[in-house]
Amino acid sequence: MSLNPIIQCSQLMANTSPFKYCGEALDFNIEQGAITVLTGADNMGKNDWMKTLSGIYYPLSGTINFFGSNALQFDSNERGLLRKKLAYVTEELSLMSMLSGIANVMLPAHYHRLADREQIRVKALDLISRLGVKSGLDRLPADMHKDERFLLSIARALMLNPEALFLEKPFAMLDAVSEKQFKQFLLHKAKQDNMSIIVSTQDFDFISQYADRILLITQEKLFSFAGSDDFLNCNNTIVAEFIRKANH
Amino acid sequence: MTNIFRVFSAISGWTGRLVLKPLLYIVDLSVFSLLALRDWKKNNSLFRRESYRNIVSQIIFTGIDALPAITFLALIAGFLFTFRLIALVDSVGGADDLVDILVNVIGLEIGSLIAALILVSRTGSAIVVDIGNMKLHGEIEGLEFLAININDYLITPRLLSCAISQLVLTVYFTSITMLGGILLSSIVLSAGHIQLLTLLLTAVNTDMLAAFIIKNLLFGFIIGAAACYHGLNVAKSPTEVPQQTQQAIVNSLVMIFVLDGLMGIALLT
Repeated sequence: MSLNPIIQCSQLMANTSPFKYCGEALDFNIEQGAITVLTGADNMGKNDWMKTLSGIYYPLSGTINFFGSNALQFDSNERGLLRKKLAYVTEELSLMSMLSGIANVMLPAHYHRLADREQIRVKALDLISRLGVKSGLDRLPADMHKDERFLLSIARALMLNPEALFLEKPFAMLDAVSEKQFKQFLLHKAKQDNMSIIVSTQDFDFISQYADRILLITQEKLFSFAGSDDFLNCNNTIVAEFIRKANH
Repeated sequence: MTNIFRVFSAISGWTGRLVLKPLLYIVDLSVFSLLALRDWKKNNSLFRRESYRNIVSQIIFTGIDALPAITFLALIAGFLFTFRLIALVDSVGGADDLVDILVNVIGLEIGSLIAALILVSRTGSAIVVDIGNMKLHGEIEGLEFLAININDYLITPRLLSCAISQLVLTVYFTSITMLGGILLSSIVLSAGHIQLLTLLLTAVNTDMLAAFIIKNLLFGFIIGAAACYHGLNVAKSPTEVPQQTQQAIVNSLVMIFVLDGLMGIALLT
């Protein structure tokens, strides 16, 4: 795994974060090819942190550099380019309701004119099959199951060949088989394609098996761990309490 | 004395707000439309076919799909306006007066207004509901996350397609209304009325034609702009969708009638 940081945070405070925070853990990097997990109890502002880390929100304080450049100094064009490099999939699964499944996946590449229509279609079908969606690509999102919509949202986000993929609660809507297949897909993307994966989840299986870095968001502070062993064996009472509650 | 001052202040404040609100709305709508056009121009070339793909699909929805309703209404309007005007004026005036009235009333006014009414009620409301629901369901946010410019991808195609559709629908509506009414009058009243068709064609001058084109393009543009603007104004609640739809329809109609009145005065002078 490369240790080339694509996102560097210094004294970063997420926008609209619901609690006051001070401490060292706000200084951290997200490396290329690493799987980073943001976890914590509900309503702790995980998605606000995700959106701040992906450059969608401006930080409340501190600095955040994307690919070596300060996000606060980006103009609208640079922010547009950033969105192509940092893919973000929300838990609302916002596929375009008027477009079919395959048209939704092809849309970003088609809009940015990355290739001709046939090449885009081939790439879209390849991504979709790797994600395990087998049929019904000509249906509208309203006629699809939630897991199909979710996987097509991922495929759509990956059409722009991003350097990082941000996922809000990605395992909530998958069955056990699809979940396992999808986790393997994420691992492959991170380790083979060197893509950074940033996930907000409370899934302890994923955290313990796949995470390279864990950020635990609590009301008191934000904890950063370099790997699941550090996290699971942490003696801090807040962390231990969270792990105990989450495991029950 | 203080009370009088308070009353006067309240009245002047109310009047000021009453005057400023529509003016600010027009400024907002103009800036919104110009920004949308600027973003479209930035990402597209006027001479590239792909630039018009979205516009064409919108024209199909806005214009082509509306043709059956427009045809039906135009035939009825042909009877209601053209036939009855011919019957009324024929008994008191000459053919020149009749042609003048038909060109000015049906050609320049009624055709444009009825086409605009159809476009507002059919396409304008659909655009507000469409964009409003997209906003509610996070579809627009999803597009922005993919670096897709909303002004370029969603707004400008709707603005331009409304403008083009309004012009084309008015030409179509006016033609059917005139043709239907004249044919009916030539069958029912006098066979000589069929000559009105050739007289009408020669009566149209370039000033009238320019006014007709500009007016209809502006009508369509206003309908599209108001619909998109109010659609994007939907924030969080589904109850905002009908509220914004109602505002878009009322505001479009007010602006269209005011603009029509202003252009009528300009043409007369």
